[in-house]
Amino acid sequence: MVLVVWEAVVALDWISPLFTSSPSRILTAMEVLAGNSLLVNDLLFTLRAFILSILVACTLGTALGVITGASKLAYAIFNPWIVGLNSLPKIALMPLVLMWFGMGLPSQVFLGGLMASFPVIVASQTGVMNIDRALLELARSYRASRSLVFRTIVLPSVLPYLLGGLRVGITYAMVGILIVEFFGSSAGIGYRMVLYSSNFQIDPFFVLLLVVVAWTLFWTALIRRLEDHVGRWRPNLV
Amino acid sequence: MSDAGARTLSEAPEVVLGLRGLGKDFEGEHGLQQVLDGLTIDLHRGEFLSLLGTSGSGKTTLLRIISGLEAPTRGEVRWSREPSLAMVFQKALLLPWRTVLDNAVYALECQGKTGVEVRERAVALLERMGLGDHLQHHPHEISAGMQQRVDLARALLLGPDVLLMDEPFASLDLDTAASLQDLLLELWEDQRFTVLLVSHTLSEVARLSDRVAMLAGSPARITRIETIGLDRPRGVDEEGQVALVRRVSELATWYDGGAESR
Repeated sequence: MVLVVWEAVVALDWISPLFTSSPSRILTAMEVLAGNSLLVNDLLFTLRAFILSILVACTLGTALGVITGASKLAYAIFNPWIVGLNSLPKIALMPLVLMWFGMGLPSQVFLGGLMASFPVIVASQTGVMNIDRALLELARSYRASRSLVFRTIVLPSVLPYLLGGLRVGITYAMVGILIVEFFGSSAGIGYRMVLYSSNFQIDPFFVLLLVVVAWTLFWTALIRRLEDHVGRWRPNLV
Repeated sequence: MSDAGARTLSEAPEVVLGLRGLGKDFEGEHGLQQVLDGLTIDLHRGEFLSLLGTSGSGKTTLLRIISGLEAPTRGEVRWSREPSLAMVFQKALLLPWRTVLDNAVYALECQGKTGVEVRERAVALLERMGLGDHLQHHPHEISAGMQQRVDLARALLLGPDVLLMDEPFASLDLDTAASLQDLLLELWEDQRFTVLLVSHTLSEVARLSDRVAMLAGSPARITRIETIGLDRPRGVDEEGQVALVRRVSELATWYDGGAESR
């Protein structure tokens, strides 16, 4: 329905075709772009930065979240910094990031990883704080080793939180990567989007927008599946 | 079946666990508060000893000290040898993400014992406990009574010398509690582990125990130790029922006396 109205509004010339596209024009542009090797390279460029950012968020975010969740001292030391950094509009860091890491991948992974880390930190922190102390005591009374306690109690308690944080984190990672590509890159989807928009090539611009949305949706669905799998023991709420 | 009470008294009983002048203080709102003081009692091998006391009398604290989860402020806990003990809690404490079978083997797993043989033993015990159809269910899918049985199975699979039970029947309805008590007695007669049961229910204590120790006062001390001295199984026929009820009312007399002196 929305697509039909959109198509009609553009076809009737109610808004300038210079500034907006329409579903049929996007489809045509999609066909043209599909055979374009340049686009594939851009996609791979962004994809690489995305995967690395997620890896950074998973390792750094989980480590910081677990440490600050488990230790009051670590919480007192690190949490003010975490909260402070998180409240900073990350785009303000952009000049600094470019100065430190230059154009390209390192900057993308730094900003993407940093932005994706915050929800992961908060989620794993909450997960660790919510571990049932009675279960830990139970394992202790049976003289369980630390690694067994981690495997059988800590991990199953924290993992659902962590995946929830990661699901939010992936959209943040994408924002961070695109910001770098907008301002300091010579490749990638973001770079290509800037190029298209400055040339008023509105149709391929919309195609890339759709690619970004599809990409994020794909990962969200994937993590959702993982969450379902991890929490399959839970009572059905529906 | 033998009279367990008579047995433990006739021969020189082997002491598995000795509490000597045990005391515990907690830092409270009004300064240091003594919860337990001067607790001295021996637990004999294979006996069923109950600790009777009103809520807040420090029974759970005592169990936590015995199990090593908490250190006593005064006195000591003496074991005849390296303790092999298991604990069952008031509310079944199960890992919600594990199945019934995986929960049952958890205590053994904590001690590095895994494998087919362990699982087979667990399955056999769970089947005996009437949980054969629920091995792959998760805790939230079974009733509270079943959860409590899984908790008991997990403890018994360790083959403990001493089983510590913290009001394990308190959260169950009467029928479920009674059937779990029957099961416990059956397994106890079979495997002859030593039981220390904490309870505030007289009928339960009279039905199960060889001896009863009354915990009362503030700070709590053991005010009296009583041998139940009834033949087992208890209360199965009319005569048995009458004897049991009489014993319960006798216990009630000194229990109330003890509680009033608090």
